[in-house]
Amino acid sequence: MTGLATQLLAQGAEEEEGFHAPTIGEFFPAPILFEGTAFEFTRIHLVMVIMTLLASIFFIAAFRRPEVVPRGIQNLGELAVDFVRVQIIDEVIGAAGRRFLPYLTTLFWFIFALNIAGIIPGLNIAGTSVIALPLLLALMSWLMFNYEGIREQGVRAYLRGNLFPPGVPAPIYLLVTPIEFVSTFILRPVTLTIRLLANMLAGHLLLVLFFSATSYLLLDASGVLKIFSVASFAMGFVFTLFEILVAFLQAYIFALLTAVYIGGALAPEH
Amino acid sequence: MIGDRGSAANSPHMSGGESAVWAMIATLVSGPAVWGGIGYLLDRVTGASVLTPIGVVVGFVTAIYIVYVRYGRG
Repeated sequence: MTGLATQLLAQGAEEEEGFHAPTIGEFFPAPILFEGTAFEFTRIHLVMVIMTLLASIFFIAAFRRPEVVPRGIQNLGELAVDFVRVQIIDEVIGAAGRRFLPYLTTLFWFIFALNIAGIIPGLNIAGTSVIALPLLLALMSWLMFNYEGIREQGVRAYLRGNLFPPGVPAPIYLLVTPIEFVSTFILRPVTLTIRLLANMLAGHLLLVLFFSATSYLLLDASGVLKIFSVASFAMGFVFTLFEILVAFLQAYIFALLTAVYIGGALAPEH
Repeated sequence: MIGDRGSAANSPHMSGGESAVWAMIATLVSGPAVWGGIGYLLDRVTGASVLTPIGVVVGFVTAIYIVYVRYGRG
């Protein structure tokens, strides 16, 4: 083992380049358009635009001329909508949640489309791996559940139900209310954002690491190390499959939690 | 429970319990965070160093109390 370590160290000393692991610079590629302005358009924005177009085209094509007995692509579209309706809305909110079907369907499939871009060859980065879209979507969900809660219960009852749990002796509210405020109104959008962002960011870094390691070990490393490129490629392969699961799961969790928050706002707790 | 209006969304659904778990986790995290933060700010203002851990403990105890009040009773 020390021989291998020595060889690796010597490797780093000889070659001027060595192995460059992926850095945070992965998420700040060179701008394509509008460089230097606030509207810099990079590869990642291009991925976002492409996946948004693809998702939109799919749903438009599926429901352009809807028929009672669906044919062709409408079947897939109905599958997409039914998944959200049955697994997310009916499970969590119930019949009262039907009017959120458009928002939650869009939310789920939009996030999924952006996430899955991380493993699509050519695109190779998730549109949700930079903070803008997770933050925006979390803010929209935040606005939505607060708006629905206020609309349903009125401002005072909504705030009172959230900030002042019943059955607490009056002076203890001094301790309790700040915690309730943070956990309901601040933590929810923050965790929605970070959960989605961190998963996609970490997944991308790992995939880049494995595949760049494969390339480095195979092409640039000397003799003995080349064999390890098989291992790193296998890891990359397994991780790509895992990333497909994560892409779906993170979209599902985002939409599910949004539905949970909306449902909780509509139906006040005891 | 007395005063519980009850509605479709409060029915004994599996996900009714799930949403409670997330809310519990959020409370247990934000409790120490909020009061540890307040303790830390007070530390900065007064120059003491003991208020931050006190805040964290107070926050944690309060958070457990909140979880008990909201989800444990009845």
